[in-house]
Amino acid sequence: MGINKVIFTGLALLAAANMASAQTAKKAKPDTMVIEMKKQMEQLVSQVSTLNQELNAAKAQMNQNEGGRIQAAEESASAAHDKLAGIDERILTVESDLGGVKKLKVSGYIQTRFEYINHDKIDTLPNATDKGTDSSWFYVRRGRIKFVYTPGPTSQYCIYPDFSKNTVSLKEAWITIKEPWTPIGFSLTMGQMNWPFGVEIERSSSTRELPERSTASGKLFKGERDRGVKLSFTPVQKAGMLSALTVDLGVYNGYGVDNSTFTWNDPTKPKDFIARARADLGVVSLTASYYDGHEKSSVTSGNYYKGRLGGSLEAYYQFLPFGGTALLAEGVQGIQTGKKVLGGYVMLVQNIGDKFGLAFRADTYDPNTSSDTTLFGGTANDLKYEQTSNLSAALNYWWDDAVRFTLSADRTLYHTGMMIMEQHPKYKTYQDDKITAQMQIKF
Amino acid sequence: MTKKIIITAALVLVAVMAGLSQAGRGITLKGSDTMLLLGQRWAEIYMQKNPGAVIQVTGGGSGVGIAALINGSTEICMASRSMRDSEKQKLRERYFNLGHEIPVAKDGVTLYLNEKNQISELTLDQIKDIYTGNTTNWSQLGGPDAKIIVYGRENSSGTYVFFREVAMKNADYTSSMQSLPGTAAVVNAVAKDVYGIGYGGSAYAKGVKEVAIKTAKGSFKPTTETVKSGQYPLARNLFWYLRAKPSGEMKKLVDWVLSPEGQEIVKKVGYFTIK
Repeated sequence: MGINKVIFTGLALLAAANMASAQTAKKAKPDTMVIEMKKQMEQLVSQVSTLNQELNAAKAQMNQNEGGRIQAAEESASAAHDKLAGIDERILTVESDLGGVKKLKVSGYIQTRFEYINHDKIDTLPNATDKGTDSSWFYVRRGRIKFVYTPGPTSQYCIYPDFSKNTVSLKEAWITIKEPWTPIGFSLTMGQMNWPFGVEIERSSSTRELPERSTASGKLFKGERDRGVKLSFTPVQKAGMLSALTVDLGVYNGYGVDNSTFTWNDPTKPKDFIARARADLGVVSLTASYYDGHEKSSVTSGNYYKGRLGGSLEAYYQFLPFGGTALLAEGVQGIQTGKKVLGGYVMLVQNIGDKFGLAFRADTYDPNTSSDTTLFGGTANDLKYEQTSNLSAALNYWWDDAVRFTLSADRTLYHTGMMIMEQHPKYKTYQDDKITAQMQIKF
Repeated sequence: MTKKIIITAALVLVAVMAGLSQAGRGITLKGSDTMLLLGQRWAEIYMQKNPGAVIQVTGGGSGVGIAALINGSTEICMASRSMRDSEKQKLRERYFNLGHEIPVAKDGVTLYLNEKNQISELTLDQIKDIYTGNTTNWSQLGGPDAKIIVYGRENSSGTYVFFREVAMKNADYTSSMQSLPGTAAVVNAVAKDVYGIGYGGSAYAKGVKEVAIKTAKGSFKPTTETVKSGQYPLARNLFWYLRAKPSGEMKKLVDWVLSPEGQEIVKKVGYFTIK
């Protein structure tokens, strides 16, 4: 811009000089004047030429600078774009990896315990194994980690090991496929899993209010799990009346995961059959269960029929201003190794605020409801065939979202058989007391 | 006499435990981003009127709030959708009840368009087609020949779930939808994007055009009348969920929120009163 001004000024000066020269020429001699004017013209032309060169040089410099700046900006933008594309690609990779990770759900819990057991003074009882001794110990009751992988809406699988006491064992390993076509939601599960019978068996000890299950569950469904295949109808939400109903039909070996004789196989040809229907209405849930199967004590022994019929009631309501109340009751009757069995429990649970909870339970199990007198003959097995009743109470305290403390007391009442009662009337009923202090972390 | 002592001791123990459960924690509101503005306004004014009260409000989405209610990390969950049966079962497993649901306000989920967009009304079928990816160009709806840029919420959002259930009849969202972390982000994106469309709470519709939804009975925008009468097809309740029936300080807060004074704040924020 400045150079243009100089050029115009120069031209203006030239024009002025010409005019001035013309005026002077009228007075001066013509030749001298012309020569003088020519000189001045040449000087001016030379100056304009110089100015033009400077202008061109300046323009070139400007173009060079501007072009450089544009080029630099373009390079910078290109680099930023590349960087952004790189970040985008990395985000996509991370999202893809994260998607895989999100399909895997890892959960688990650890229960560490102190137990104190005060056995009744039954040392005079024939063949007694608990001779009035007291026992106490610290131990890890359960240390579990569960891996559930859900590749998509139509399949899922699980591996569930347990690290407790001094052993490692496999609790569950199963594969489930789900059909996506109907609102009923059929699913098929095969592997090692919970028996679908009643409610208590499938309630994880990480959520139960008392440290152990009732006696009947422990005796009739030892280990709570077995190998088999299960077909479930779990209706998807809002499928009308069906949405409250869940049905499970399963075929299993029947010996469970804790059987020491048949650790994984089944010597009986017909498999055990289980059916369960559950109507969950929110405040109240009702469950009916049926079991039909066979067992034998050794490969060569005869088959025993094994049948069970169970019913469960759950009721949840908030009666008191400081927390919810739950009433749970289950009963089971059936035939086990040729004898009629009967068991069940009633449990009342009351939350107090968000941090505390109280639980009370009465449970009973009779392994032989019809022929007590023939069963007890003063043999070494006497104590194994007693009717037992338990009274249990627990106080739970949730330290935070993950940690819970439980302090519980159990009184187990043993009602001895007829023969022992006749020989030792004093010991018609005797008892063991147990105190449990448990610390649990769940993740 | 012994029985009386035991009963008295038990009652004292229960009272102490109940007191310890609540002691010194204040009240936490967590959940729906749609309800975040409303929750904050309620908390501010309630704390001004009750100097001893401490109320903390955070968002995260209805799903996050419900999870926090179940694991005990919030006292009140703000939710722009109803709790699912599976969520109620989890709550029941730990607290022995299905949660206490309190509708605290009404909302009309609003479709946002850029103010320069010439479209002003859509049917539910058209909305569904846009969000499922069947309609991808504004020219298919009488607009310019330009690609529709679809904005929505993340799946932890109650509005995401409500919109999918009611507007899309449980169909899947198009994979090209840009999921944004809050309603304010959706509004912001649509306000800058001439060809964008988004959805969210009616209180957030500032600087964008509200779309009227065309039904057999007429064309409706979310207003007090259309939301309360149900004429606006995307009308819904906004909820507070508690683990148990409210008592003490919590009951005082709930009663105030449902009072004419609390409901006046609902209107000021841009939602609709529950009664």
